[in-house]
Formats: sequence, structure tokens, C-alpha cells
Amino acid sequence: MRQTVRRTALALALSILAGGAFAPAFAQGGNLRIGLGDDPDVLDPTLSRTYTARIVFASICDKLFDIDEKLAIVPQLALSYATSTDGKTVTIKLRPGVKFHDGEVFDAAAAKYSLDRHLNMKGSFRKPELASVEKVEVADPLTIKLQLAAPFSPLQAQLTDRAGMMVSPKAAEASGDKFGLKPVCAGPYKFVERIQQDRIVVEKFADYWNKDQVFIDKITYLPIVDATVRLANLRSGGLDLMDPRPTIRWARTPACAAP
Amino acid sequence: MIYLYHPQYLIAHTDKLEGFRPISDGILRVVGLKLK
Repeated sequence: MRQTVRRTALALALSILAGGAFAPAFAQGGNLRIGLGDDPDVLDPTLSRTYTARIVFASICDKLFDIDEKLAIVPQLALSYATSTDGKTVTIKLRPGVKFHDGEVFDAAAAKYSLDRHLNMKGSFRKPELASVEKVEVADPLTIKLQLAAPFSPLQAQLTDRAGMMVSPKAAEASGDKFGLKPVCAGPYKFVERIQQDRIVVEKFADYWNKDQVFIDKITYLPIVDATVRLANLRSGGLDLMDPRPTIRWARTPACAAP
Repeated sequence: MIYLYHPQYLIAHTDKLEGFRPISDGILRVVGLKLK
């Protein structure tokens, strides 16, 4: 709140300096504050179970595929998805030039590592999502092949969520089941800090493959359980964007039409 | 499993934020967002 006041004062000062010609243009930078409906569980894509964790993963962990406004499956870290005529071999081409937050290169070996981790790690919640996958093979440095027990058309849809999230093999090997305390993926933002029940902070990743489309320097996720309090924070300038849930309670209050 | 309803995701943001694309899975994508 105090920050907002200071920023407004600064903007005013700037506009006076510019002789009134200062137009509020989009600046690079800023801190986007997102209000979440609850505090996410562990930030490890293999072990995660909550919806709010998925919202945080959208900034730190890119997936093989994404979903667009028309609910079509579109490429993200993968470029294509082809199924063999018998339906039991899936060939996925990967995006070249992608780096993880620790500088490691994303390639077929890293994709195989991530999928094998989802399949084999103790306590993995991705295992049933990828149950149809018998084996992951590296075909060439930017191609993986998934061998399936039987044809399974929902597989690509699974790869649009946590089962398709790629982790840095080096970081995952080093931190084991503690990976969720400091996740290292290939998303537009990298993990900075987390204070339980208070905030999760991420900052812009300079080597992101699509960095030209990333404009905000920092994102702070703030868990605020009560939707009314979350909405009050949004209206008073303490938040910029809020997690939709639960919607029913406040969707019918006149307050929601105001901001 | 038969779905009998689907949840409605309403998203609220300040008018300082531009470039937000609502996507029906309820996940808030951050690529392309700008703060005024």
C-alpha cells in the first residue's frame, strides 16, 4: 500500500518534470502481486497436488505443451507431437535453445530425465497420469519417443500440466526430494524465496526462450485465504491480480463490479 | 466419470494490468502481462 503511494507520488513528480507531457506508458519492470486462495503445497511438479501450486508453476515451470484461449493444445517446450499408426509410439520434437534457470541446457536427455522422474520418483502424483508410458527414449538430441503399453489419446493433454513440466536434471539430482524447496525449471520466472503462509517471490529469468514477451520483473504470490479480504486488497491496491476461487461468494456482491 | 457442472472462474485484476488472457483451465499465465 505504502509502495503504491510512493509509486503514485513518483509518477506525479515525473509528469511535472516532463512538463505535463508525461504519458503513462508501459514500463519494463514492476512487481506483480497475485493473491492466491490458499498457500500452495510443495513446489515440486512431481509431488504437487494443489490448484494454487499450478498457478505458481505457470511462472516457474514450463511444460511440453500448453492450452490456449480456445482450449487447443499448443507447443511450449515441445514443438510437435506425432503418434505412430499403431498408436503405441509417440514422437515429440523439442524446442531448441531452451535453458533451465541454472544455465543447464534443455534437451532430449533432460526431457527423458524429467518424465522418468515423474514415472519413478517415490511419492510421485504424476505416475497415474503417465501410466500409459512404458519407456521414454532419446531418439536424437531434440527428439524423444514415448513407448506406450497401449494407445492412449489423452496423453498429450496430460503433458499440458504438471506431468509435462521439465526440471533441471542437475538441480533435481542434487536436491532429491527437497527439490520443491527451490525448484529449478525452464519457465519465464525463477524461484527466489518462499515464506510459508506469507509469500512466494519469483524474478524474471534473463535466458527464457520467449523472453521478449516477458515484461514484468518480479511476481509476488500472496496467499490470502478469505476471498472477501483478497478482493478488498485488490480494490485498495494491495494486489494486482487475484486467484478466482472461490467465486460464488463474491461474484454476487456489488463490490466485484467496482474495480 | 460424468461431470454434471463446471466451475466458473471469474478473475479480477487492477486496470493497471494489461495483456491478461483468461484461459478456461483457471491457471493465471504471466507471459505477456504488463503493468502500467
